[in-house]
Amino acid sequence: MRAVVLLLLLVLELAVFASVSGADVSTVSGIVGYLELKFLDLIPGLAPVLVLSVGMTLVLVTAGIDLSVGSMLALVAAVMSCCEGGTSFWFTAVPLGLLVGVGLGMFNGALVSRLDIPPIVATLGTMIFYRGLCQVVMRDAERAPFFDVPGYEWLGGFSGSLILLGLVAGAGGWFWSRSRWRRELLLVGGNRVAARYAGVPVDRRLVETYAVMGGLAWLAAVCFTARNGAVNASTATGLELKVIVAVVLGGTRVEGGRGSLLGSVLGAFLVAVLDDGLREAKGWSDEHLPFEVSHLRYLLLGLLLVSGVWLNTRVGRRDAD
Amino acid sequence: MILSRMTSPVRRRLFWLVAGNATLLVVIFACLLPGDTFAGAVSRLGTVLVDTPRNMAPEMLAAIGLTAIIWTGAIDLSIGSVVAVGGAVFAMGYSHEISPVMCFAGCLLAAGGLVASNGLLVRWLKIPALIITLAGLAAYRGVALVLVNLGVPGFDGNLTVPEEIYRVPGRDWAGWILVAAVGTAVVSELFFRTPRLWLAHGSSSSACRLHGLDLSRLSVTAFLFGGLYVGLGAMLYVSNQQTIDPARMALGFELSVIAAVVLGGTNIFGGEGSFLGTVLGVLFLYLARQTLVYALDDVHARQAFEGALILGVIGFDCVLHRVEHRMEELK
Amino acid sequence: MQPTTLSVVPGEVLGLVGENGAGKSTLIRLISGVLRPDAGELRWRGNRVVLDTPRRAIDLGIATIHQELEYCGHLSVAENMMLGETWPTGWGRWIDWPALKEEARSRLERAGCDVAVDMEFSRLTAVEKQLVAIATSLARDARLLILDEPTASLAAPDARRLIEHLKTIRDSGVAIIYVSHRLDEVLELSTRVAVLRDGEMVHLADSGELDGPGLVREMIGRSLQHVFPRTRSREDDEQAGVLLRVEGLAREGLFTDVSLEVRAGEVVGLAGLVGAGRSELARAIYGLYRADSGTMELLDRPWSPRSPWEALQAGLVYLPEERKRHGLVADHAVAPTLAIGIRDRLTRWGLIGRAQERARVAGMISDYDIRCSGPDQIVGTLSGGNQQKALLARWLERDPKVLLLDEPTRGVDVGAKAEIHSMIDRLAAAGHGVLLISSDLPEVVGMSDRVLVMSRGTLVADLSGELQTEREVLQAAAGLVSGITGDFP
Repeated sequence: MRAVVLLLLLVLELAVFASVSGADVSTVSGIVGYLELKFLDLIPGLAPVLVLSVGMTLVLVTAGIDLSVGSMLALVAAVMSCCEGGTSFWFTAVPLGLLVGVGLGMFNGALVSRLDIPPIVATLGTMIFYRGLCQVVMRDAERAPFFDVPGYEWLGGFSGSLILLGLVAGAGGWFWSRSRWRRELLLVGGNRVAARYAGVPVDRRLVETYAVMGGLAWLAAVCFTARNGAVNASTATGLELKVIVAVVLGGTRVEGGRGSLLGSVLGAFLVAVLDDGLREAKGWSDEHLPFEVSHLRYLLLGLLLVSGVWLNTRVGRRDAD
Repeated sequence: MILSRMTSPVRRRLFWLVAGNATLLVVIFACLLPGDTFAGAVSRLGTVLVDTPRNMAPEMLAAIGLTAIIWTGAIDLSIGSVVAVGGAVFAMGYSHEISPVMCFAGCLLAAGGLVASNGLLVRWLKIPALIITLAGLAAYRGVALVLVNLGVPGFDGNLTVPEEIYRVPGRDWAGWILVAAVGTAVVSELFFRTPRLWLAHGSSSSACRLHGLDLSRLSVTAFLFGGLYVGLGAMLYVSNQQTIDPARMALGFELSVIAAVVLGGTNIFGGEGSFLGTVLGVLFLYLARQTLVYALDDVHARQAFEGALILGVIGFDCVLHRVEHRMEELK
Repeated sequence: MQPTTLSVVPGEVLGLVGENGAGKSTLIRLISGVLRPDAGELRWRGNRVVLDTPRRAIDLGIATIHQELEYCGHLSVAENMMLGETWPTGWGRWIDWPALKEEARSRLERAGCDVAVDMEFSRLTAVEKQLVAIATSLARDARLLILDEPTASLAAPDARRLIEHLKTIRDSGVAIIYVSHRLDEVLELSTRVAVLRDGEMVHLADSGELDGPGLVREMIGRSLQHVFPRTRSREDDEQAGVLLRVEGLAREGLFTDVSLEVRAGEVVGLAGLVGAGRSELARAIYGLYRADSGTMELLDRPWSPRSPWEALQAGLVYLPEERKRHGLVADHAVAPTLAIGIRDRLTRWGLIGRAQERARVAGMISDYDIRCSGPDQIVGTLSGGNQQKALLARWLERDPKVLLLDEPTRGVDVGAKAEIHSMIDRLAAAGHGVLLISSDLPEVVGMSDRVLVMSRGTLVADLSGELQTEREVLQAAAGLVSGITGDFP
């Protein structure tokens, strides 16, 4: 039922932005054309948020949260940008980035599991810490070696992004839904003590979850830099908000014990359509509104979150997986 | 006597914070000493300390407000954006030649009102405070931007407020306002019933319900109290700035406030904590930043150290109780 | 719940018994104002009342002490006791703390309880929390006290203390409704007993007219021939191999120098007071934490587990004491709750086959007679007995060699209790070894081949044969504490 609500919201969003951007949606071919265009446009931009949403869903299932994803993405991108461009990039920067991403994630996991720091506090701290490290690495500079790397830009294009997303959300999702790991995470999030009594290695699972989040942050960094080509000290600030909105909209609860990857994917689409639509609507808004429409983005993001969660609680509870 | 009403983790944290703050003062002094006489270093330390209330005030007031909210088991992530709205309202008033008093009052009411309405929304919509205020974090920032664009003629990204009179609350009165506000808070937690009831709410809302306490009222009063203090903090924040830039002002403010509250010993899930601890926590973070300024030349490394410090202090305290916590958990 | 007519007079104790699902909780909730009746009326002291909120009931003088006590753990005893009331103030609205504490102290004294009023509430022991809760209600002029399973988590002397306390309260003119599965307590304490079955009251009589078996008969509509099934032979199986051997096991602050053996086909009972260290011992054997010293042997091999998972792989399972806190996720369905127990058996290449899982779960539901509407029913809505059966089923499906069962029939109705007992009996008959930790004296004496008694962290007795009586167990458990009466009804 939740998925239906999300799809409806998505359709509503698309309709609103279609009319505002002046596209021709009066005929069926017009609608199809519009949707095709949207899809082509959206996928590359959507990729980082979607990849992170997948990871965030896992973290939320364990009754945790990760506020540091934006900082992780930036730090990974920053570390990667320190390497030389060219073909060797694939063998130096990319694996290094993965190592850094997973390492940062494991650090989060260690804080949460071994030190018993509540996730919101731990990742609040690492959000500040990782961003600080990013500043140390970048130092006011903006580096852009990414487009000098053969084949890298393709990842940021439509087909590259689509394949990556298909792998992560599609194949990853399929494995996830059938995995034993998922069962154990659901138990960890549902009742941590019961998980211990049932023989689940809780600490290890938590570290694994946050490590996966870190690895996905690396993937998101790749998607991001493949599209933007550059990184600076304030890259991806505020990204975690979008990701959490997407996941919570998708029906995953903050209390843990339940989660829906499908919901998170749809939620990520909702957020991406919002972003993109507002950008398109600039022309319309300059005519009709006394303020910039990008200001509306924040407002609408908040409203979307509240209305989505409110609708979800009204629509009722079901084990959504 | 007073301390006996605090739970033991909170008491322990107070002790560590007092020790920590003293240590930081010594470290700052040690950084000031090289290249100067003892007396000279002391006077420079004095200058630093004299500036402290003014610079620390917005954060400390907001932290006290947030502490009360967290005690009841809720949270408010939108504080930074709320301050931005306060700034926007102030800017609107300023640009229309409204008197300084009214401008500041408007700022206070706008910021405080938003926090209070967070509380009302949580009650009315029955959605967790985390979600409502997360949405607020985004939405209120947008509201601030829309307001300045609509209400300030010719707004081009930021507004400069050069007149000295607007500095008065933030510069001249900050110390007094801080002492009065902090004093009221600390006294109220010692002698009044409502703060204990906020703690009760966070400790077990079902027990409170059974004893006939009105949970809605408690929750709303906590947000009202929070709103008052955040509003005051917003007012002082705005008056401390020369320029008002709603897109960037107080960005990340809520994070350092939450960090300070948690550092101060308040349990993030509610039920235990103390205003005194929050005060010491804010002071600790402030002194830590100052230490970094004097001890570390590298501007870029400062934030990293701050993050590491927050993690270190909290992690250290959590590690101390880890074994005890684990055994408790299994019972 | 069917139309029921009931009355309680001052100074009497009305015992309320019935299987889970019989309607006891519904009745209690109707009387305490949590639920509103569809029909009929409530009369309090002759006047018709409508209890729309629990607060209204409390104001009238109806106090309910629930099984799961609700309290603010971070606040002091005094503050918890005075929570809903106006606190004594000094000048202005400042709280007069000394006066508050004095008021709390005097209330506790009047109720015959001595607990430090300054203490953090969460630091009190279980029985102290109950007593404070009762004292709080009495101080609020409660005329009717409803107690829901008050002794479920208490061992014998604590339960005794509570019951004597309740007798004093009864004699002072307060009316009590006493809901409990411990039929002996109900019979001892009550003036009259009401039996509920399937939502209606099937019997209401003076307690003198009924005895335990009679009550059970009314409750379930049939008589139980064997309360404690024993299909296996009672002969000494010295030949049987030792499955689990523990020697000199110790962990600081929890237990010291514990040595025991569990043989194949044996049920070893482990009795003792709450706090004797029995559950902690079991957790150490299971691998939840390490012992400081001593050795263990499982199936003739040295055993020092680093985690519960090792235990599960080796054929040792542990059923925890508190199923809600340590066993279940209330939101989850029956299927994942059962499947998690055999997750390694269902997994190939890290994935679990859906069809295979469904089949195994369906098998478990029918084999262990878990009454539910289907594998998708939320486990939190099952009755206590079925929840316990589910938790037991997921371990039994692994075919473990040694089972550590911690209070397996606590808070479980008579029918399910019998089913669990026969499960344990069948396990022993099949050659498995069971360590049965229980505070239910008849159960531990009746089910076990031998009874070990722990007191304050050490083993104080090893009883079997003629010595294996409730009285001997109780005396051993109480150790050197004086004042415990030898007779237990």
